[in-house]
Amino acid sequence: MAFKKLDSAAIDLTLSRPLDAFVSQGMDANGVQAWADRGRGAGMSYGSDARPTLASAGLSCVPLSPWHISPTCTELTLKIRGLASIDGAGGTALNARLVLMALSGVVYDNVSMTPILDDASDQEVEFTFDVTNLAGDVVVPWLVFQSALNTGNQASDDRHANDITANRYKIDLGSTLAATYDDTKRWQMTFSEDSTGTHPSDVYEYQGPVMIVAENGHDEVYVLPRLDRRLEAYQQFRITITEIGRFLLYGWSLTETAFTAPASQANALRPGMAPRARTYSEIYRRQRALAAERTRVVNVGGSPDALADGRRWGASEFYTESTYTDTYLAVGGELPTYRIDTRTATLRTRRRYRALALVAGAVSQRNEAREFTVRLRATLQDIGGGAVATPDVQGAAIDVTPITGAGVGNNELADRLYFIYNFGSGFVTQHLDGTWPYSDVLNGTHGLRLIDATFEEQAASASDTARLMRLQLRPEGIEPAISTGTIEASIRLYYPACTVLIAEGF
Amino acid sequence: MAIQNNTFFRITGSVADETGASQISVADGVNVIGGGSVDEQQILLENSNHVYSTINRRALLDVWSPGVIGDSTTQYLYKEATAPTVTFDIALESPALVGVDRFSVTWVARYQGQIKVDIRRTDTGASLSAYTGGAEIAPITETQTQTWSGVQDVFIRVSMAPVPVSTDAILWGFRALEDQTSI
Repeated sequence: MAFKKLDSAAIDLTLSRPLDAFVSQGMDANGVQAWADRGRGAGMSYGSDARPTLASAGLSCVPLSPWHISPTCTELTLKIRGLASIDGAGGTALNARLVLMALSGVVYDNVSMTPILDDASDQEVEFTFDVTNLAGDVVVPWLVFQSALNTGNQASDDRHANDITANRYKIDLGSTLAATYDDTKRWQMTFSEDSTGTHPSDVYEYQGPVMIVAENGHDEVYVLPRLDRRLEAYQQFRITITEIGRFLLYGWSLTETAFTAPASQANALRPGMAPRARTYSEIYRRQRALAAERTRVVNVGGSPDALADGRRWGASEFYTESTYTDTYLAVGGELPTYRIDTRTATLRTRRRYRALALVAGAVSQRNEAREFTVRLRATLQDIGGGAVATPDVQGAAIDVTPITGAGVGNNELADRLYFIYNFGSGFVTQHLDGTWPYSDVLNGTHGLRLIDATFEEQAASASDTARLMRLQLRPEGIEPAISTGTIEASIRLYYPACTVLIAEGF
Repeated sequence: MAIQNNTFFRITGSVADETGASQISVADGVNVIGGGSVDEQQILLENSNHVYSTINRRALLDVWSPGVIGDSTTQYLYKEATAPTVTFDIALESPALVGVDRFSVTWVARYQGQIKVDIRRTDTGASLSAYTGGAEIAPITETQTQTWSGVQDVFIRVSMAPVPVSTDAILWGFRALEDQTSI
């Protein structure tokens, strides 16, 4: 149904209808149509030389951006755009799916994977999720993925316990495996009995697959999760490296694509029937609900890392006491007038934003897991400089308990978030950088906290000016106390994504 | 009275009530309006235009680097060094699902160098609307509107080129916002 216009064509077709009924039915229909057509949507992209690559030997996931699902929305659609590669022959590169995590921690997962096929050309892949039971809630959509194996590109060789170094994060591939390994691709490493069939005195199971996450040169690579201590008990063991599929992510978008629209009131507005106040009131209620609740999403995904450290998915900083860092930026403004101050007869605008910012902390040692506070500051200014406003922020602070794992073993999450390898030639991102093991999300050990903050523009009048929103975060209050500006290098803060939307009205 | 799509109306002279319930009196639930007063019908009609045309304009692409503060040459979304001979290279590319009847975006970008913004249809990759800016030797905030028709499933491609010999191409931020529906 198209938008109903009160134009000459429409009137020509309804010359025999009373104008009241025609207008009433039309405006009711327009409200219903707006209900169906005006879902929220927003998109994110990455600089072409800083695009994240999605690849994982196990089941991994990334938090896209918090999302406030509009009331009565029934379907959320994710589109990702990028380049999938594995074998050059159109095979499955990855399998992926969209899952939603409610703020209660419950993960909604329909389990069904969508294959992403190898293609020399850019492609878009679409995922939909039924959100009927989550309408009105804030959720965190996660993109879950696991790479397929390209068994046509693999190599095996016997390696030895003394090839393992760096607290079992690093292993020397030797020249045979190194001849196959290509750092521009992604690789799984598996372990088995050596080619001579010899055994150590104590026989253990071989550990499961790990992923090569960075190259150190000299035929050496880093792996996650790190190698099992028991592997060192074998004097000799066999390694197989296999190429896995990858997806170079150009950008993505989230859109609300279906709604439970209210029923038409056309029958109550038929010609010859005097409309009732109740019917008109319902039309008004629907209009106002749309204007007040179906608000615009200003930004999803946040900003690329402020540091040139090679991070691709989210930003990371060392804990620096009470020192703000530019974390998430977006452009807002351009809001029409919306509501009145109900205490007076004076029309006043409200341009109120809501920021949903994800924060996680990670430490390198379990005994460093000390709680602290993260605080958000918002600044509004013109693009390229100009007047700066720093509004009061409601809900600005949240307590964070950092996650641990490095040095412990089985839990690999903190390793993924914490480590940035420095090989002397600058920081190099690791291939699992910024991703979570899906098991940690399911088990509630992801460590993410959500800052749900609101703030208002100070200008009382409507403005067509685009305004730069600068959201800064700072950690504070660790015990024992350290002075402002002091870096606590055992703690890393991680800012994976942020959503900014209009809090109410448009 | 002209349609003012920027404003959500309430019933003139009535009591302000955020629930909307008292905007039109429903004291006994069945009041007959008799077609409604001119004010009431006008306001409901204008609001119905408004909710369709104005609300929920999608930020089809919105990404800004912290480097936009102060036009940093070390923090940006994309950078390409100048050279005697330059070409456009893709800087950003994002899928987008445009709202029904909304085939127009107004974008704002902070950059230096030369920018090209291309709206392309997803299924064929064909260009629906393209804009190429001038050579900017200093940081600039530019806004343009691009329109097309009939295709909701699109992707947005932002390309950058340095100014030959003189200026690196740097993109600090880009936002493409749906325009309100033309009805």
